[in-house]
Amino acid sequence: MNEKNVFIELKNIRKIFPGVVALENVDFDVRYGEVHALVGENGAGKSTLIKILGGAYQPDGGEIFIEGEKISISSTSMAQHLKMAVIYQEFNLIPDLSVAENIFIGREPKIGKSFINWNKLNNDAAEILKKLDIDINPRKFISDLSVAEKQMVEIAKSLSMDARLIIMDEPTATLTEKEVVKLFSIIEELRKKGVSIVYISHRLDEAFRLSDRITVLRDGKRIETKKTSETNQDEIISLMVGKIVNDYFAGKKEKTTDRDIVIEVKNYNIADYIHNVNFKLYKGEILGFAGVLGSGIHHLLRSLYGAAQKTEGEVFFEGKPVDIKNASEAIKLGIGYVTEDRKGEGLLNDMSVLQNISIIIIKFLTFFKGIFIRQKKELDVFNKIAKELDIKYANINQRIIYLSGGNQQKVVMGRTLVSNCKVLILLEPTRGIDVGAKAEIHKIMVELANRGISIIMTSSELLELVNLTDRCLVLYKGKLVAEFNRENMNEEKLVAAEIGKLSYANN
Amino acid sequence: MMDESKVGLTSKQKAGNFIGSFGLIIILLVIFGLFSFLIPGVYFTWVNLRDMIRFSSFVGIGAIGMTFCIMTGNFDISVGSMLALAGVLGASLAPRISGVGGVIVTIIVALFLGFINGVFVTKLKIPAFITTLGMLFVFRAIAYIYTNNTPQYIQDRFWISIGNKTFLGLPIPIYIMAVCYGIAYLLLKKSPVGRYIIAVGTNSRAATLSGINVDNIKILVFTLIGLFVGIAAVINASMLGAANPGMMGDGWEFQVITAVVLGGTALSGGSGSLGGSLLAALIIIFLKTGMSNAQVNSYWQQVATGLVLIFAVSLNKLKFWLIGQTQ
Repeated sequence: MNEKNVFIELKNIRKIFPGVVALENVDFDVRYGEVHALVGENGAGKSTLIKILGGAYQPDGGEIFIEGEKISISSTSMAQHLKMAVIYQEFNLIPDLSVAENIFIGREPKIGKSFINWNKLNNDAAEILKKLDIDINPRKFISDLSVAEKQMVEIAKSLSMDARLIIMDEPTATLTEKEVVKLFSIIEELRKKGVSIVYISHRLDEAFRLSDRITVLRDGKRIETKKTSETNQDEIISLMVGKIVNDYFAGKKEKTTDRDIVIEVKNYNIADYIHNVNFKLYKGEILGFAGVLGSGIHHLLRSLYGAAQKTEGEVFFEGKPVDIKNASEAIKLGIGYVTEDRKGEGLLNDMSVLQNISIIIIKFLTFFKGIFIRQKKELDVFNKIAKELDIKYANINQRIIYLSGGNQQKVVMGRTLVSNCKVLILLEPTRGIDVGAKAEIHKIMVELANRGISIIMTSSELLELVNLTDRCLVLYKGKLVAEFNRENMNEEKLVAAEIGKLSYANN
Repeated sequence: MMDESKVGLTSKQKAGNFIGSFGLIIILLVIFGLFSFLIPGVYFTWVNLRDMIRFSSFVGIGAIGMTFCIMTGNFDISVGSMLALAGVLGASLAPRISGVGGVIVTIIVALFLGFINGVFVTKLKIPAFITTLGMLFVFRAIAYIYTNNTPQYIQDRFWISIGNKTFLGLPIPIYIMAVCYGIAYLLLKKSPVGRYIIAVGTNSRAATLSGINVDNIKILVFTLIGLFVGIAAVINASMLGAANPGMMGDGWEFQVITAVVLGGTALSGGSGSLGGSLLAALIIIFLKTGMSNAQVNSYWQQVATGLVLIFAVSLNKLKFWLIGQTQ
């Protein structure tokens, strides 16, 4: 390899966290104007590696060279100084400042020494945005922007400081198709200008579409770096999981014949969000909900769990009318809810794996009038579900945040399962988790449904809905516009219905 | 995932864990050792040690409720005034309803005041800082108005003995403090309520979705503050022989909050340590007594207390940095 082509090179990088080797002797390099995809399951060490590149973490061993010169990235400002920018999944923007202020934060153009030159600030920002062909008013506040727009601002920010390396962590996770296309064309532009890009994504097709080379990490080790043109998705997947995965959707669900209705929703309304929705949920079925942003699905499902309030309509649970006002009432009925926002409202970050599992049912695992916890019983419940869901953890007192995304998801699901729920509402059950864990979650869902638990699920990956659900309901602007079953469901139809192109009648 | 259990820790991380476990104990020992060396005949005596622990019960017991409260991400700065109001009410009634009655009134009044704080914070959604800042003035003012600014002397022998008598050679407040910490420990570690308190502190949205009534937990926590403030009020009034509406608990809120923060409870909620709060209460009193014995000017005492607080918190930061984890 021609050394002169390499912008940054990492050699033998090692990073240790309490009880975990996050990275072990990892080599990684990025060339000028290259898009280098970094793939691996959750827990493989991707985030740690980019945090080291961004100066947020210090490696415990190994060396870093930029243009052949040994350096140490001792802080995030050092990384900035070296012209490297990281765009994290959780953006680093200040919501109460404007787009322009965020782009030039800390480097605002000044009048004299003390006063910000607001005109220049806004004009410069506008120019950068225009160069990227991004249509955002630089005077707008960040808090008023969509996720995609925030991402564009992050990119503009990294360009404004002449970044030579931009690291993008799961940039498309929350973008729509159209926004993804836009992002890709920007990446293409950057590459032409000689900017190097490290691209991290769970979506392999994107990695293949964009990258020049792909590096696979697994269990903190670099497994291989391949030229994209000399490999294929199957090979990369097997490198990621360490075994050949040939069936992505393992074990398709038995068709439900059960016609017992578990939940029936009639004339359901939520002001501004849901209009006159009716549907039934049968015992042991997997019912999918599809819809784009603004479909109201999120509000509908939250209200079924008592986490949002309906304005009108009836809900029957096993034939009896119910009025679910809060989560604890829903839990009592046997409804479980797994959020799509695992970090924000799923995980109890400061608590252990054990405590995260038992939090819902802990009040029943007690003696002396509910005052003391039966620790033996709590442990039994935990061990049983951990085995059933194959949760990987170091010890029961390990903090939940040290688990991989897939295992965290299993814990959050396990939390509702131990409370013996009959209905499980799963929002985006495989968001942000890797291929191997995804297949496992699918398998668990199918097993649960076969056991008679009814599942309501949403997914932004339509293929997941097509492959897993018995029926799929499509909402558009708060109205139920289509219903598909196994026989007539496919991705194209779902997409069409999601954007309102197919009426309920002609289906 | 890799097999995590077999992985060794680096020396840096070991140092971090060591600081986490023993940092406060070392600070306490250093302070004790330093003053024992500087003023040998006065400081390093059994009587002094006993008295220091006895005095620390006042801050130590108050710190229990505050630890719970700060763990849920809230705050209560009205505790000093609460202490005074509960104390003067109980003390003023004691001659009529007996010392036992006065003690019970003191505790129930404080409990009720804490409950009111909790209701304001949760049901009226007024931030805890504002609510309790307001109550800091309200409680103190009512204490003045009620007593017409006169100290309420305690003559009852039972009440006086609580703070001043010994049992098996140890002052009674030490036993009370031990029992309080024991109960608080069981509540936090062995009961569902303890789990709920931590859950609300670490992620209240996740707690809500887990069926926990977050408002009720917060009200409970403020009421618990009241309970422990009431107990501290009984001890404090007993030691001083009177409940003084102006002086009782003046500035106490800062000592209590200092103890909790010094003890390692995160102001952002979620994690905290009762043992840390207890050690910190001891540190504060050991330091204060030592400086008083060494005749350090009281302003310099405050400087030293402030610096110790900052030092202890930076030690905590150092711990997280060594372990390699961003807080």
